[in-house]
Amino acid sequence: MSMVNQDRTKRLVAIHGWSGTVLGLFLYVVLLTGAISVFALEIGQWSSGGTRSETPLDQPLDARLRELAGSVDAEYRDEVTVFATSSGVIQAFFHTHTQNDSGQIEDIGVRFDLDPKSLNILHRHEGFRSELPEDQEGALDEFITHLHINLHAPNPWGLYATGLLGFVMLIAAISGLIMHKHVIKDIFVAPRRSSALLKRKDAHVQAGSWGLPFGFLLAFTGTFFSFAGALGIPILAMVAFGGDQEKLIETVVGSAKAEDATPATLTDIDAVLAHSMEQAESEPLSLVISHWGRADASIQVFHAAAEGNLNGDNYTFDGATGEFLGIKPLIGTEPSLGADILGLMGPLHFGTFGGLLSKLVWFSLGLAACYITLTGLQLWVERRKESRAWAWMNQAIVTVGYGTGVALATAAIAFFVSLPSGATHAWTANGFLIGAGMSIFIGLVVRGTERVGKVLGALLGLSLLVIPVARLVGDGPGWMTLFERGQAVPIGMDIAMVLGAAAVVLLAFRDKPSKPARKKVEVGAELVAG
Amino acid sequence: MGINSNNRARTVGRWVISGPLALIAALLAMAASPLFLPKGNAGVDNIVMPIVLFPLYWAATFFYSVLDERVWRAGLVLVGLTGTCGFVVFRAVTGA
Amino acid sequence: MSTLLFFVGAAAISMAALAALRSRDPKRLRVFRASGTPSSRSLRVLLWSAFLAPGLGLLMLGQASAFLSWSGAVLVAGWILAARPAAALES
Repeated sequence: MSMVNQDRTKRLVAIHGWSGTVLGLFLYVVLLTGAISVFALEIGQWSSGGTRSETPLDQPLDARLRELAGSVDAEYRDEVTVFATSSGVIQAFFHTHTQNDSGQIEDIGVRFDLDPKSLNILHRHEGFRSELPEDQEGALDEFITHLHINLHAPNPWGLYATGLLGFVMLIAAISGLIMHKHVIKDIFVAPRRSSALLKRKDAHVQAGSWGLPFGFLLAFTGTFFSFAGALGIPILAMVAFGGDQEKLIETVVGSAKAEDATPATLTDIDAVLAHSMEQAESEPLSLVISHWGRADASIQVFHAAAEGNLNGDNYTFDGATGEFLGIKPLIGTEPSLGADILGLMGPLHFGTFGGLLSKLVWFSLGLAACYITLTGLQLWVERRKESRAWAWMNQAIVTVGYGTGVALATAAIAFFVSLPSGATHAWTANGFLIGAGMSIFIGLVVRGTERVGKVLGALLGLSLLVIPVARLVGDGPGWMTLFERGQAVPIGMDIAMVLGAAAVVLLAFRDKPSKPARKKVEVGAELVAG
Repeated sequence: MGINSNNRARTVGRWVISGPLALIAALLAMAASPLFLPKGNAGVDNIVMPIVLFPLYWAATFFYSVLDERVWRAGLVLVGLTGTCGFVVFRAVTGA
Repeated sequence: MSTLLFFVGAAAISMAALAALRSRDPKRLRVFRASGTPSSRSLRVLLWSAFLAPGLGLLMLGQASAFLSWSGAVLVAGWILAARPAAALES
């Protein structure tokens, strides 16, 4: 396939190469943390030594929720969300919506953290959602997912940054497809080892070809998620709703009922949950109660995706009478093309729709994207290795490649060790910085890219092996206790760390076959032909 | 010297057009889309679809500006798109 | 459980087709000077169809979850399979 002439090809190569070179290492961090974030739920359960309850919302909640509703300001009964964290703690957030200091619409209210067995109040916090202290046991998975979502930069700048990185990945995928003339013809050509340059080119092109469909989808959906809230909603609110973002969201989400502020007692929540669970083929994940105490109140019960489906259903009830109003689409009050397409964005990006199977596949896709990014950077540098100015880049690629893993591993170690102290958020971040600092120091001090790779690879392997030990040091339950409680996830995660350590060490210390140098004209001919 | 300064002007022009101008054109196209896209069954598709499609809007303006052989033509097209969408958005916002 | 069965069945068929495509890929055989008869164009079309057909089948059966898992898995597995060099060059 040849869609471009020589001038266009040169421009595309420049764009593909320079955008990747300038932003590739940041993109790699986003991709690696994205791959790991697929297992956010499992990391959360690992963090808390298993989940306190497998189905936290499958129990009588009405009495406790009414009591809590009576204890908050009336404005905070505008909307109530009830869901369980990965450790099984039930969070009931009574809130309304207003603009924060950054001009973005945000939730503000009172959040109660409840024990899933006794429904006793564990904590009570008040303020904007982003300011509320997060679950201490959730510090590790939150750190990793926020690093992926916004690089821990304040919003909207963090979202702009990751949105830009997603866009760079999108144009890399499209430009790669346009530039590479023979995608299908070359797809089974394994990296040739006759020269380092040819090997790097083949490795990158082959991985990029196989990774193209999902590279495109992950980049597109990722860019959407970053820009939707930070750019899309504010701009369209300005155009179509006079700047009122809340009105835009309410219009898009849709409500089956007309506004009616006449006081009315909320219906029995337990009866609603029972009705919903009878109809759905999956467990309830969350409740949203809107306009508590008004005639236009509604209760929505969100269920997990049923077997074989991508999204769970939203069962909607009249909040005053308890009448079942039907299954509500994602947006609007009628099924639509927009709802169908919007409904695909989550499953395509997060990969959590099919349980462990889809998570393993998406994790592999994320690692493949990391490989494509790093091999692209290595190819760029290999072409310029005669220039000393680019030698540092080779060192940087290996340092960031292994070092990001080291930093995430030390973040996990610090998290587990600090669990008894309760200061997990601060220590997780500190642990990450310590690991990053160590990696950068090694990258600066150790001479030779191969040696840096081996040292950092060994450090990463060692760090991964230390994590399960750190979990025990932090008073985490041992395998016997976990087995007795039927908590398989923490055991599985510990095993994953050991396997990961083995894989990393094998990768870092594998023998690279050496070949006699071939004549430049032979290598050049292969590059042109291939 | 003349050829070099022409090339430099073309390169700078290409950077400006495929960089900030392509982004602004895409943002304005997104902003203007609710005014002419169909509302769909639920009456909200015209609001949701531009937000979902924004990455493709931007990719389209970017790749067009890179691939068009004539820099001046790419600039003209994107300025035209920006102007048209900008005018439509201005009228919607001010109610004029 | 049925999603897993659908996935395994579809992936097995697709991977078999990929293995056949790989073993007789003309460019791969030529580049690595490996032994084997290159596949004809019609055989390649048939094998690529066999690779894609399970996915189409999953879509038609409404197995959206299995389809997405299948599509991601066969692309990653296909890459791993294709990235192994042919034996002839190494000897």
